[in-house]
Parts: sequence; C-alpha cells; structure tokens
Amino acid sequence: MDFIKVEDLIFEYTKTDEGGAPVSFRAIDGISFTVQKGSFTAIIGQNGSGKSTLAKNLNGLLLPTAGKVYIDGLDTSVPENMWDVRQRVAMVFQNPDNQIVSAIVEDDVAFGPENLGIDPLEIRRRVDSALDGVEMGDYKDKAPHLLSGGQKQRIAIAGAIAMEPECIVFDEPTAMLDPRGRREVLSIARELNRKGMTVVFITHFMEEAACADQVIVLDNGTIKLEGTPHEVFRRKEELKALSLGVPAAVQLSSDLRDRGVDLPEDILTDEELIEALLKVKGEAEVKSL
Amino acid sequence: MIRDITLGQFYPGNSVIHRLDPRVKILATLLYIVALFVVKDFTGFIAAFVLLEAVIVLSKVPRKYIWRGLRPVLIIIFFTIAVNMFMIKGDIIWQLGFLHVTRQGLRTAEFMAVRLILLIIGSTMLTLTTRPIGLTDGIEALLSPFKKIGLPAHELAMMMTIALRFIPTLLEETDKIIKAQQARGADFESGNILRRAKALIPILVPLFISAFRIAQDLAMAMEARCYGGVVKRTRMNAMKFAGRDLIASIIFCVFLAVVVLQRVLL
Repeated sequence: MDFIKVEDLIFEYTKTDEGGAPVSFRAIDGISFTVQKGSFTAIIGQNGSGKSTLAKNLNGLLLPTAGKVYIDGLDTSVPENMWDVRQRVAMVFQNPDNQIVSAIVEDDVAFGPENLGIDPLEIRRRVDSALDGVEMGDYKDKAPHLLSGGQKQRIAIAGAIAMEPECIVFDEPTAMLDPRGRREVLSIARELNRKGMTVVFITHFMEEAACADQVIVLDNGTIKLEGTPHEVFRRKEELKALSLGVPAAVQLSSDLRDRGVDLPEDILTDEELIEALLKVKGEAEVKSL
Repeated sequence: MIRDITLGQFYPGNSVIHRLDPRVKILATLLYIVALFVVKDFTGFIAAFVLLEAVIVLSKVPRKYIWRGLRPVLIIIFFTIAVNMFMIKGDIIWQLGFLHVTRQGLRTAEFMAVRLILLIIGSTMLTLTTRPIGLTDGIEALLSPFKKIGLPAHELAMMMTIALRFIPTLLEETDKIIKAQQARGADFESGNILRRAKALIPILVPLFISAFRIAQDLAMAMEARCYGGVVKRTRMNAMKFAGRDLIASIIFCVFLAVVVLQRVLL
C-alpha cells in the first residue's frame, strides 16, 4: 500500500534580489515517487539537490508550488489535513540542538503529545516507552545540553516516536554526528522500521542507504536514479557523474572483482563483504588440500 | 567551563518541597520576600529563618548548592554592609580618619545583610526545587486571569521555557565564536573600556545571526511536532493542588500572620 504518494511535485522558493524584485528559485522540479507502508526509503543527493526541501514537503511544513503530496491518502495542501498529516509523519532534523524545546529530556519528549491534546496519563506512558525505545530511559531527568550529539538525536527521535506517527522522516540526522552517533541513529531507524514504522531516511552517507528497501537519488531537484540499493549502486559511473560515491563495501568488492577475486555482484554492506571473502578464503583452502 | 553552568539551577529530587504545586511555591516566595521587608527587628527574622531552615531540611538539597546560589551576590551583600556601616550617622564606636562606624550603622548593616541573605536563599530554594518547566507552568497559571485583558500568558511562558533551554546553547555558541575570532587574531583583552567594548562587535554580530538561525530551525521543529499555540494543548505533569499544598499554605499563612502581628503589635 502506498503510504506517501508524490505526484509531479514542484517547489519554488521566492527570494528578493538586491533591487527588491522577487526571484523564484526552483528547488524541486517535477518529482514523482511512492513510499510503501512499512518500507525503508533512502534519499541521497549532494548539498543543494533538494533533499531537505523534499523532506519538508512530506509533512506539510512546506506546501507544493505545483503537484500534489498525499500522506495516507490525505492531500497536504488542504489546510484541514495539516494536523493529521503532521501527526502521521514525524520528522527528525539535522541539528540535534535546534530541535529540542525543553530544558528537561522527558518534558521535551512530551512536547509533541502535549500539542496533540492527549490525556496526561497516556502522555506519561508514551514518553516512558519512547525513551526506553531509544535506550535513553536513564536520562529522562537530565538537561539536553549535557548530552552528546548522538544522545540528543536519540531524544529527538523519542520525541517523534511519542507522537505515535506511522512514518518518520529523518532529514540528514547523522550529518553532524561522530561515527558512533551515526551508527546509533541508523540502528534505531532500522529497528523502528523492523517494528513496522515507515522510514524515509535522507543522507549523504552511501553506507546508510545500503540497508534501505528503496533508494532515490536526487540531483538538481529531479530524480536521477531510483530502485533497490543493488540496482542503484550497480550504476557506479552515473553516481560518479553526480559526484556521489558508492558504499565502501561496493567499491572494494568491485575493485577485487577487477583483480580476479570471485565475488558476487550483489554485495552492499561490510558484513556481506566479510562473509563473501571468508567464503572465497574457505574455497581456496579446500582447493589447496 | 561553560558546560557546568546551572541556570534554572534545578536540583532533581522527590522531596515534599519538590512535589509542592509550583503555583503555591511561586506565590509563597513572592510573599516571603514581601514579608522580609515588613519585618522590623530580629525577632521577625527568627521566624523567617526558622521557616526557611525547615524548607531547606525538608527539600534535602545539599547546602553547597544553596551556597552556590549565594556566592555571586556576596559582593552586593558586602557592599551593602560597608555602605550602611560607614554612612549612617549616630554614636561613633570606632574611627579611622574620615571613616567612622556608628552603633546605628552597624545595626542597620547587620539587618540589611540578614534580609538580603534570607531573600536570596528564599528565592534560590524556589528555583532549586522547581523544574524550569514547573516554574513557567506556574507563572502561566498565575498570569492566566490576566488573559481577559489581553495578556498572552501561554506565549510568555513558552518564551521563558525556550529561553531557559537555549541559554547553554547560546553560551556554547559564544564560546565557539570567541575562539574563532581569536584564531583570526582578534584581541579582547587589551586597551581601555571603549576599545574592549568595540572588540565585542565581532562576537555579537555572528551571535545574533546564529540566534536567528537557531530560532528558525526551532520554529520548524516545533511546527513539525504539531505546535499550534494554546488550543487543545494538554500537559504531562498537570498541576494539582493536593493535600500537602493546603498544609503548606496554612503553615505559610501562619508565618505571614506572625510577621504582620509582630510588626503591628510590638
């Protein structure tokens, strides 16, 4: 079932130039795609490719200049749908500091449900379970500014989970984190997805896109490539032309194949590569016996 | 260094004082401060001291946190003592050149010092035992009768919440900007006051710009979490006027009565 349906989306920003005349800049230029319920979609692209603008169109923070975005069948451009859309699609932003509202962790997680007008006892239940879900239950009385970037981002994710959305859009949540924080955030996103949450994960780290069900490559406001990670990362030359790479494991296994190592074509992650290499090593040992 | 700042210096705990309704605590603190100015001799201060001591013991807040709240205002206290000691005319008990200490001066100095110390510790106890969000909720509730005359109580409370939350963030930002400017050769330490004030401009301009950027990000994040002002909003920790609040109010009213009667009758 299509949870998100984007049809010929066009989005223009209007700025004023030095003379004061309005100039419009087209950030998204005719995009169509769908996201299945319960799937994991990765959106990759360079800076300025329109990723963040697209993300903000997915929960009505920005409304299409032309075209339509449907969330669970609801048109985002209809004002009456706004709260339903935002409750169904929660967002986690790039900067962990600038999205935390309250000076106490648990109060921040409660902010979304409080806005929805939910009963206090139910909010308490949701906050506790959301914090446990991101393994931050021990920090509920702490002040956010004393936490690490990865922990702050987990708090932001808990804040999204507490709204009990059907989909979470992650807008480059790992861009400002250290490698450890990146791993934590990605593994939480995958865990949520495993439990049935629809996930849209925007990133410029190719490794993070490797585990998705669907990869969409954006460039200059249009979709350049689309498909499963296998289909997308096979097209190395096209990605290179867009100044994008492929995951390290894909690059390494293709280099090894060029040197005559017998590796399968469909390796995406480090774990798969290690497994394939161990298999090759095992076969070589068997032959030498 | 900037990381240990304790503004909105809440000391987490679960004592009876912590659990009191923030509205009761805010009102009591305000009236306590007024009471300190009603008192006219030391017997009144004894009542105020006993009440405060009881609150401190019940709250289980370690004394070093209370001391920490007092430390920044010590200079003001010493200054008040000095001014009162030397400036008030009366029976001279000690003299050095043009400086003379009078009996009345000494008495007033002691009096003012006790008053200031009680006042500061009293208000520190409010912030130590009430989480920032409780404070802003309490203020919102106490201000809400004025909504009828157009006072935006909820919006004011939300602004205070956000200000408290972002003080450390902006301090960190300032620290970063200072280091960046120093790395480019900026000098903040030499020259007279005017030059030093001028040297602050390269810090303030980027700080303002980044404050606006943070505000924009935050507004976006709040909107994404369905913030729409006060309409239909509920609270996780709704304030309840419980039995303990009634008892606390009664004890406090007794204290107020003692202070007022002592002033009027003695």
